[in-house]
Amino acid sequence: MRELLNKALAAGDGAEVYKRDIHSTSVSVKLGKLKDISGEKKREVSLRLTRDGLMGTSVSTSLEDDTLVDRALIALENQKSDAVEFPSEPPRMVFSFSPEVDQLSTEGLTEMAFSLSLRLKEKAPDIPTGVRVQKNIKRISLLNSAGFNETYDYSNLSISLNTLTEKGFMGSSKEYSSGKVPEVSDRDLDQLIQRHRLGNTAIHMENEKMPVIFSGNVMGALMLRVLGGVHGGNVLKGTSPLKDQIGKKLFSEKITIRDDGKMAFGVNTCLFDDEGTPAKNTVLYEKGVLKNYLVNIEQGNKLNQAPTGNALKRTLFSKEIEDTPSIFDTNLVIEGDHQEDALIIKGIKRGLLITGVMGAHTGNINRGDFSLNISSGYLIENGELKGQVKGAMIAGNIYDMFKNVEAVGTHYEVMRSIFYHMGYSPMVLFKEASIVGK
Amino acid sequence: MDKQFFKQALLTDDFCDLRYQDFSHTAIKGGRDEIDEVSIVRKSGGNVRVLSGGGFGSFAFTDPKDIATAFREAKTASDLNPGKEQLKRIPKNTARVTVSPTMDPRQQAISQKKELLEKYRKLILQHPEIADLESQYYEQFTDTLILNNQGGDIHQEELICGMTFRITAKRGDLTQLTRLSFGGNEDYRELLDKDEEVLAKVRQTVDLLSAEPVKGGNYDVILDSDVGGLFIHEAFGHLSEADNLIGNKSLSSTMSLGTSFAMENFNVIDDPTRKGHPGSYIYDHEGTKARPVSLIHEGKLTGRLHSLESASFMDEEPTGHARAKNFGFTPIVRMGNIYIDQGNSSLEDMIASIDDGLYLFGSAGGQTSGETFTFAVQGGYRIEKGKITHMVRDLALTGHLFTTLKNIEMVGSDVTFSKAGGCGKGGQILIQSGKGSAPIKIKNMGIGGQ
Repeated sequence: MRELLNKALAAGDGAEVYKRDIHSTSVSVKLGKLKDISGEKKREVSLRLTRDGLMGTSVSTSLEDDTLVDRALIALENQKSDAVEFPSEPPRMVFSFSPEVDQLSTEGLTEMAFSLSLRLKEKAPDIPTGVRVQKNIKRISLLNSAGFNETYDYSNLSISLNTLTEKGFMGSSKEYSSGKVPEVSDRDLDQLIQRHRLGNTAIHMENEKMPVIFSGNVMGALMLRVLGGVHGGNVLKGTSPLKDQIGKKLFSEKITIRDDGKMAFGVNTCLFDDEGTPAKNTVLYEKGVLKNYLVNIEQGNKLNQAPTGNALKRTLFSKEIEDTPSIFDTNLVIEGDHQEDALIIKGIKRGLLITGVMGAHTGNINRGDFSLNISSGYLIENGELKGQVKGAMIAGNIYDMFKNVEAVGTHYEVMRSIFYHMGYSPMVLFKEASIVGK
Repeated sequence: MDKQFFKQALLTDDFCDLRYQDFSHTAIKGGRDEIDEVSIVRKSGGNVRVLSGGGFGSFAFTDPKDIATAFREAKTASDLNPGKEQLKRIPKNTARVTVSPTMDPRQQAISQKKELLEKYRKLILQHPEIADLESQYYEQFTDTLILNNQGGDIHQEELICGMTFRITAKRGDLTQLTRLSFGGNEDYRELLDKDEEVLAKVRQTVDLLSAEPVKGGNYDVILDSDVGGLFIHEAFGHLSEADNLIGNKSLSSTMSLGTSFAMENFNVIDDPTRKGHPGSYIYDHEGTKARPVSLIHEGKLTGRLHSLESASFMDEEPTGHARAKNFGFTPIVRMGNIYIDQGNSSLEDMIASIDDGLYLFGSAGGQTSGETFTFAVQGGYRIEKGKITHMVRDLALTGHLFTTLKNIEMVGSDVTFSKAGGCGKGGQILIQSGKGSAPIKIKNMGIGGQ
């Protein structure tokens, strides 16, 4: 890395070399049989170079790639990207790595997948199921011309469980993702089976307004829009509706949202972000009041806010290095007026529990619009789940929706945005939403 | 790329294959104010698969020195799977495929590409009600070696370039977002002289600000070619990908060939060999030569898209549809260019047949899960008593796969392909996935307003 940094410095005023080594293994078991096992050992490298107040980036799979400096210079000469002052603040320790996950062999992961498959079969021998277990280990290093020279290790174990319907389509599902080996409780498996069986009772909705619960996992579809709003780049461009809104109460006082990059063993916990800013715990909304945007170094300078440690080399649809660092979530956490999950459901006379949606990537995300197909949802009547809703949609805007938060549950689930996990949320009850049925 | 080095690394026993790829992606991106990103990504790496046990083991790597480790890991993974699976048909094609576009984007200077994008950006932004713009020029070139230990030896280049725009118009608190794409193939020439298309899209985007929000409910609808392509991709195309059927007897039964899915005058084809579209290619990433597949013929299920594994499982011929985003991923079954073939209705007759419905234009992303699908569209028009009356906005559609296919009542006579592809499956976004359609009329479609 030092050699590349020196080579870059010969062509520019400042430079940053980023390297990550990734080692991952994935095991799938479908209908009790091993479906496939895949692995990878990859290196990704990125160079940022500054000269005369401008900055350019290049990406490769090798530190020895002799076109890295030239490509960064082409970018620098052709794009309008202001040079940033590379950080030098040393990060403090975080718990982002578990040796227990690292030491899991392919055989161990296979055993784990079969064990989960067996537990599901014991609970419901008549229901076909699928299990996927994925281990991901990374070593991330960053060296820059301001003196920053740090490395950290990251581990993640993700588990997904699903049932299959009689026709062979996806039934109910449950996901886990953690820096440690997640615990899969019997309660969760029972709930998975119970919701699968509710699929046998199809319910067709009329168009109506009713209370709606988003499960923790599905809150990701809404949080993608929350993220689009607090994204510093969107605020600067005016594509977020949150310009000049810091300090204003925009959501219900019953909800608090923060982004915690330092969370011990969180799904996206990091020692520092992909431009060297140490991980932080940033409150976005405190009791409904907008407190902070998520910003990188450049945006922070323009918005007079310290960088929040959310500059990540990924895109919405890819975790490979494909672009310059952009603003993404680390571990979004939803908190608030907590009530027991069972009590939330029990308190609803007629409403919906939504546990799966499609179309999270469509519509004007940055402005908070959503129009989602309810791919998995259950009608609640007099506090009980009555059956699975078929062919219904829910549409609205998060800035209306989040004003109506009634309660936040207690059982945290990992949230999914589209392809990736984005933190943790319990179920959230919204007072009223428009459901489009028949 | 040292072919001999990779050939020597192949295992001699059982089945194995290796894909090694030099990958480059150039992107020029502009926001509302300026072109703020120019990136030239270059990556190289490989992916090996071994079938020595009861299923494939695979391993991706970036350092060629890790190739022995990759094969060892893949074999260990395959052996962990009890049994001894064998592929019924293995491609032994040998070919060198190179690209030769009329106007090669790789020969154009970055400054020229930037200038062209800038010209269209300025054209769009000159309208006072255009509040935001995301614009992008993209160019992706891959040079891929696909070898197997049964004699397969394909060395193939693939090239695609295009421009995409997401245009936001704003009036007061109301915003409307549309999309525009050019290119989607190897020829840079197709990106030139698009001023009229750009201005027409700007007008449409601004007109949407005066449109009425649609009232959610069920309507008879006409989908234009772009939306029709998205519909068939989401509502049926994914279901025709036969890797979903492996080990899934229930779904295999649901997808039995000969099953009636739609009216007689309804035909769906996937054809990677049609030139000039995002999903056009010669060999797939397992080295199988791609061929057109009739998926629905006269309303009945007639075929499906295969990888070597799914073809073997179903005891059918491979179709050449196993592809990967890049070397970092295992090939999975993907659509090439899927389209609804021409029927015999005129658009005028289709509109005249609707008493109370919608004409929908411009795809804006979709998704499918199980038996249901959803997709968003850029806008539409109300059809009342057989006539188009006024524009409507904020539209998303949802439906049940089999019911909706049965509800298709008329198919237009002109097939048009979209200039932008793209599809996400198994964590892989593949930009080389094309779609097209003739306009179609569907009765009783669920529409959700935003």
